[in-house]
Amino acid sequence: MPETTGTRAPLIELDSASQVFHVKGEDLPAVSDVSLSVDEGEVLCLVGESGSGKTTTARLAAGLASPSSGAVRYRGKDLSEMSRAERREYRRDVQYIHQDPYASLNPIRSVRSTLSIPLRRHGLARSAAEVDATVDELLSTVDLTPPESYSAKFPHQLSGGQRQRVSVARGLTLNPKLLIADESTSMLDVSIRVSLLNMFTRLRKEEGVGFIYITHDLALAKYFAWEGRTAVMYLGRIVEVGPTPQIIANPQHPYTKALLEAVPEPDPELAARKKAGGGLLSADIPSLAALPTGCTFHPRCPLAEDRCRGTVPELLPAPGARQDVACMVVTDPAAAPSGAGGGRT
Amino acid sequence: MPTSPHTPAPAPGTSDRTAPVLSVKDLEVAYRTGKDASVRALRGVSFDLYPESSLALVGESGCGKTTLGLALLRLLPTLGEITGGSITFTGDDGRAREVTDMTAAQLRRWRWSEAAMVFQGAQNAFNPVLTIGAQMADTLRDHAPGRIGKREILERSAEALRSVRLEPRRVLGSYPHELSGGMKQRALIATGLLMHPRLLVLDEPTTALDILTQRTVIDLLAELREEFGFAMIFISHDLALAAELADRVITMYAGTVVETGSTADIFSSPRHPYTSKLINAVPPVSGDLAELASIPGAPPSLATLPPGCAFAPRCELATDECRAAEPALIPLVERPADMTHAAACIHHDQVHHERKVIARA
Repeated sequence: MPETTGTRAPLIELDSASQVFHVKGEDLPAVSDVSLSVDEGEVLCLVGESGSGKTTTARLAAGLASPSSGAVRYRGKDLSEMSRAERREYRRDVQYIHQDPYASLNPIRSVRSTLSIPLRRHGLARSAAEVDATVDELLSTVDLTPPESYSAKFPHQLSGGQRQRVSVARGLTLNPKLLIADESTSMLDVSIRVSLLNMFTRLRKEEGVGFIYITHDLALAKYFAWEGRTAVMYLGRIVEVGPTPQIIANPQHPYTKALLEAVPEPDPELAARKKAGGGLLSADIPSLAALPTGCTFHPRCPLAEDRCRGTVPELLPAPGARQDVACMVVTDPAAAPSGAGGGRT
Repeated sequence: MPTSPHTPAPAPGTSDRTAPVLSVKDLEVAYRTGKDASVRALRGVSFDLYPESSLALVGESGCGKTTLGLALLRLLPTLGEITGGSITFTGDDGRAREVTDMTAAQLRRWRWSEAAMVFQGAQNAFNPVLTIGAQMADTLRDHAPGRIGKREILERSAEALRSVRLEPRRVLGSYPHELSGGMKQRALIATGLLMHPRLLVLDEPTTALDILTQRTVIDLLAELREEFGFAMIFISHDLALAAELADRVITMYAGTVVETGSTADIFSSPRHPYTSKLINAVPPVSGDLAELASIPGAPPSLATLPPGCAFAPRCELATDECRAAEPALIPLVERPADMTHAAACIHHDQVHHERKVIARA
């Protein structure tokens, strides 16, 4: 519900949002019943394999897609009920940074041109001098200095890392309140990746920008969202969510544990201790068109019991931990010894 | 040069089993950039690779890693040329052959049967309009010695696919787009292994793969190396991959080797500031929260290398001496089988590698 007084609504909120795609007569539930929120200066990491629904969830938050059911609210206002003026404000405040800097910049526009269009369209710079000053400032923010040596360049004259910075600068042109950054299949050099994350953290702390950061690598989630939360997604659902240090140090869901086991360690001693295969029964994620019954993770799960095949587990507080987890075996272990018939779920 | 303590490749005709599979000496590669212009993409690269060992080539994009991988198999693009040095390959028969002197026909027989490469970008390395089976058959027909029948092609393709834990019945008749990224990467590795080569070069074998798929490929490569006993060179910008898979690491910068040593030595005490910074740019998932720092600036253009040490403009340890002359590799810890730890940095004793902890787990 929209709230204007009392408790302030979060910056962005997904409330039981689902997204079903219809492809060749089949229903593909890309996102199912996802609830999350991010406030100013907060960071939320969405983690999972390709096909886990993290990019679709981010697109819902960015208004690039409308949910099939449930709601997406910006400052308490449902996106589908916004007036033109409200929608314009939302479009300005929430920016999406695409994962592929090779495909997301217009090849026939110079850096200056790419950055100046949103400035003019939203009336943030009126004269050519104002545009130049703002473009220079943006380029300095993303460490493309001196700005004058970059503003006249075209994308093909820039390296991958420089393009990614231009992408980020474009996301920053309108002083956004929320940045959604999709890095899930990023091929950036490690050093460039780190400098972007450090720049994001600076924006979060100094300007109060909220972040939704999408990655498949829990080591990056640990670094970037240590002061925030991490949500692990599997086949369109959040299976574990909580403060990032808890998720990393005390994972509860068997899928989160497998993702953690899989991360390559930049330390030969730690790497040697990794368990092969992460304990999963199968390496491949099932198709959305033929989802397993009950808990969709059960065919790959080392802990699966009979009851997991029949019931979709709810996201519940994990006993003795500070996060929520969607796994009956973890949240209701007492039911296990007495067999499937004695389930109290 | 760190290779000096070791015996060079044996003379042709000898059958010393402990000879390096590959012995690279002062390798130089140039790319033509104009009528009379060229840039030096590799500058005096030397190393020995022993049988069944695993070497990681690390560094940022543009440091010459891929150029080196391609040069080793004489697969450089038309504008690239080996302008100096030698690459000596010793086969199963113990016969040493000079790769830089091979004719086109010799190269054709040598490649894939004795030395294979798995190219960067599993998504695009297969021809999209041919089935995986047809592409594996092409490789066998082109590179197997003598004529090879249909039945043998099928058997060997199936065997290679099974070795990478793929089901031949499903994969042989599939087109590349019908396979997931991880399956394609495994099928590429299977194609590389078709003829049981002694040397496998892999360029960014896990980049752009999902984390669980990455883990599958990492574990698979470790198992395959044990099973088939090939020597492996893999190219990666991600030091974590080196920690997982390599016995030995070479850091490249501006087309030359700036540090070399065993994986244990390199990770516990890197002595070139560049290697130290590369390690500290990769987040560990275990333990306390460590600060990550990017390396300021970018690798230099090969056309306009700075004077002296090419890393000096990005290095806080740099002094006038660094800018005066390019440092040679300085041996620091002597080890056998070309595992000597050496760094091309005159301030190597000032490199104190540590991760700064910013929060306790």
